[in-house]
Amino acid sequence: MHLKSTADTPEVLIDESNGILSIRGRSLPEDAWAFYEPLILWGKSTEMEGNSALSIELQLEYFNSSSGRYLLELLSIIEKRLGEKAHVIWVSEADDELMQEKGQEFDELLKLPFEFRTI
Amino acid sequence: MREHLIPDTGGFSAAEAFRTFAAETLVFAYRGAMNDSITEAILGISENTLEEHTDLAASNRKVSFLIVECFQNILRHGIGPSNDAGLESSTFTFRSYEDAFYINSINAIHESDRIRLVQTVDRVNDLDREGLTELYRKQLSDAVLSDRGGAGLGLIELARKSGRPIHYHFEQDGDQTLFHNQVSFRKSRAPEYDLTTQTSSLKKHLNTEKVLMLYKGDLSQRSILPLLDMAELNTELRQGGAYARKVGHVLIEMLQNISRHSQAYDGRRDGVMLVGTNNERFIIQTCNKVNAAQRNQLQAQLDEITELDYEGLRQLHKTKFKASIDREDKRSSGLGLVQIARDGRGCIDYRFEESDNDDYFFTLAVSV
Repeated sequence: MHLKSTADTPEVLIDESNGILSIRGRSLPEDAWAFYEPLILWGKSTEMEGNSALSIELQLEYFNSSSGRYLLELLSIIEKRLGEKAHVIWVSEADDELMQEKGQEFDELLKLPFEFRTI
Repeated sequence: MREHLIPDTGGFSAAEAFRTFAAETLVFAYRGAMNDSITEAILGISENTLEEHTDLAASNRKVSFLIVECFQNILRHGIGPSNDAGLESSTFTFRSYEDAFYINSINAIHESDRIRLVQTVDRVNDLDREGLTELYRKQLSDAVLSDRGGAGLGLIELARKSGRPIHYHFEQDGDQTLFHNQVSFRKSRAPEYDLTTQTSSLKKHLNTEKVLMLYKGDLSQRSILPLLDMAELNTELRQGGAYARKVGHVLIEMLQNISRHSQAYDGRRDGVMLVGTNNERFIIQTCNKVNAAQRNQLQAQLDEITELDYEGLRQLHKTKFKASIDREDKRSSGLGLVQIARDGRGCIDYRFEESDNDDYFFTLAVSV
């Protein structure tokens, strides 16, 4: 799956052969469910479970509260199905404290291993 | 924690702006940073509204031209204390009112330029379309350009494109001479008003409350994105990229809160956004109309939120965030206000004021 970014939705790349899920950019859609539903369905699919390891790279400039909710839902589905075979790489700008704090909140709410990187 | 951020009654709050511009479908007023990178963001804000007005939409390019030309006139000819944060004495506004579109600009000029300016505008206003074209060609061939790009040509072009006279007046502000001008555009035979005096009064309010940017109009998603870009550009110029993103995080949630939850009238969810400064902080105010049931629900949420300090807000957000993924209602997570307060480090203020039809103006302010 490869979705190009728009003014209010991020770029999404799912590369099953290399075990990568990457979401980058702004996630501000008015109807976040419409955008995240296919990702959540993928999270529940048998294809996703076939991954021996999954690296989830999240590099978000902004995300609204409803996008945050579906991101958390997606990550918790992956956590339930893959456990520690999956890990999250949370990438933010070095001076973007708010985005780092938001990443820490995800880390506190999930058991998935989190790695924080700054650019 | 609640902090006094909304001007008291009588001051220029977002609710006051809503009342003042009740009849306008769009108002944008700006006294922030003025440079070329801002021009594009301004166009983004105007274009959404123009598309809504089928009457004006066909002339979208013409109106866009007028906006750019008027804004750049300030850049080229405005004088006075200036830096990346803007020209202190300049204000740029556009508004849509009764089938006409008005662009009002105020900038300081050299007193010595005043007579030349009056002569040029009066001459332009006296000419018909053919006369304007002839004058434009003559000016071009004579290459009568001012040092900074040709004020005369700009004014002639404005009159040619708008097809309407340029309203203007001068105002003395201390030792500064301020030049106000209004360019309008209308498709129908709608009446045309001289809004220069009203704009002057708005400028005073904006100066007093240190407002950089005011927007009143539809706050659907497509209107929100250019506002985010504009706020980000301004914050970045004043205080750097990290601060700009902080403002952006809070602003987007405040505007989308209106877009999602405010009372719709004739399919529009109108609201007001004010971005201002107070010392080193940015104050964002929004106002929208809510009904009595929405007021009660908001009041309960805000009472809970304003009781908490930052750590309390962090915990509340975490609890609600965790619970949100089990909610059946896919469109409403109830997280927005908590997130706004947490990201604003708890410095928020709110007020409900009676409106009409048993509705209320809901003003929310956050300092970042």
